[in-house]
Amino acid sequence: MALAMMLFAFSCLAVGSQQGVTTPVLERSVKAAFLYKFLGYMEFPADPGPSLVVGVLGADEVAAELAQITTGRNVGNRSISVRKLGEGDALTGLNLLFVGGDAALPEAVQRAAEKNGTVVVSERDNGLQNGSVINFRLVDDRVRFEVSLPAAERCNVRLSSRLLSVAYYVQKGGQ
Amino acid sequence: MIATAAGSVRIKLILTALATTFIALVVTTVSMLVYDLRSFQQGWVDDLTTQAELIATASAPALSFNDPRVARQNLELLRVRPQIEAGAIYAANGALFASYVHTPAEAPALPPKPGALGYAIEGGHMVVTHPIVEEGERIGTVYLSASYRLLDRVQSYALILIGVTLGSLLLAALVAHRLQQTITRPLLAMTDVARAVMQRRDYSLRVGERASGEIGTLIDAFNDMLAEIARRANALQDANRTLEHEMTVARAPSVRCCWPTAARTNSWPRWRTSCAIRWRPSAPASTSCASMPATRWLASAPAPSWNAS
Repeated sequence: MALAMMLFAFSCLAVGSQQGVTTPVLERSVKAAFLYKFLGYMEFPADPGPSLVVGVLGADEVAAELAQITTGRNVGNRSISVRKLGEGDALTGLNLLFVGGDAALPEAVQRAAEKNGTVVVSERDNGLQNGSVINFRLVDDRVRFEVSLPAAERCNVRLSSRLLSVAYYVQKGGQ
Repeated sequence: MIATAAGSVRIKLILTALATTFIALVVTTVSMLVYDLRSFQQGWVDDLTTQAELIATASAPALSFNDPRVARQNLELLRVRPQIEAGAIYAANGALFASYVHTPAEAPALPPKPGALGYAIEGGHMVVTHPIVEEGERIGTVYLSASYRLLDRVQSYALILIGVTLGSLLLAALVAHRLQQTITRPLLAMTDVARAVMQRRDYSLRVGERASGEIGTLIDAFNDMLAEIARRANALQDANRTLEHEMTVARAPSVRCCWPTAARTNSWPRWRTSCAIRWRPSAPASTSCASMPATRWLASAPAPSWNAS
């Protein structure tokens, strides 16, 4: 528990001190913290079971950071497990999938993920156009994110309006 | 003297009513003031805590996703409550995350770090420190500072209460003045009659005023007493007069006497025919011989036909 608190304090420190210069290391940890917090603002249609599975594709640092943050923490009353993925791995059974900037996600795989109710988070400039639900952006050296509601609808995931209130940009339906 | 006593009864009655009203008002006023100040403070604490909770809930995502702009927007909503002079959101590490001041010129300085949770009253300000909790973890703190003018409140409240007290006393004096008449009017009427009786020795006077309760009984008893005194005085006077007459007759027995008429001699006892008044010394003074025409002295005349046997 003490460890968890320490980690939590560290993550908050990371978030809190994210002003100004954004080093790549800090950016990773901020994104990991955001990924963890996204889970609290999502409502999955089907019961995801006792634990939420977050897959991280092509961003091992984020995966390590996320694993550290989520250790001993719950969202609602579900534990979180982090799965480090490589290209070509199966993407079934995931609730959240973070696709690192370098990794490529074939469209067919993305469609399959949508069908499985996996929320895809990317960090590319045209992430939302490529079908991601959430896309990280760097705005004024700050990590921000944009949200696509149609994509969320396709995944059958409901996003909390409180999450949308802090999104940098929200893509509404009908576009 | 009686008049002043009655007057003082009137004043005493009004004073009693006023004193009772005043004490009741003071007790009510003080308890209301105490209650109001307590509920005033509690109301402020509840109100500020609610505001802080609203801001905390609304600003949790902003803190989570490091968006001070949204947090500031949430704090800006406090503009609708001018009493809240300053507000701030602190991150979990105690760093200032977003702040708001209503009027920058007169706003109190924000603390560099949030204080203990709860509320505090310091120098005319009420400060509420409320945690921002998400998923059971404290991710930040909301700080609100509002002007808390307890003294102003006491002053305005006391002014209102003093006004109400004075108004109530005036009203009570008017009502007491009207109501005391039901007691003092019969009392005054009685004292008037008593004074007249003392001055004129006229026992035929009566108190005409009607009243219920003890005063009614008092008036009735007073009237009865007057009647009794009048009756006794008359009786005494009569007795005196008769005695005087008796003495006169005894001193001069040759005084003119009433003689039985022929008709009377038939019904009167023989020995009575001598003199009616002598025979009945207790006869009222008004019984004069004029109503019994005098006849000649018939002492030696033969006895009338009347016979007791």
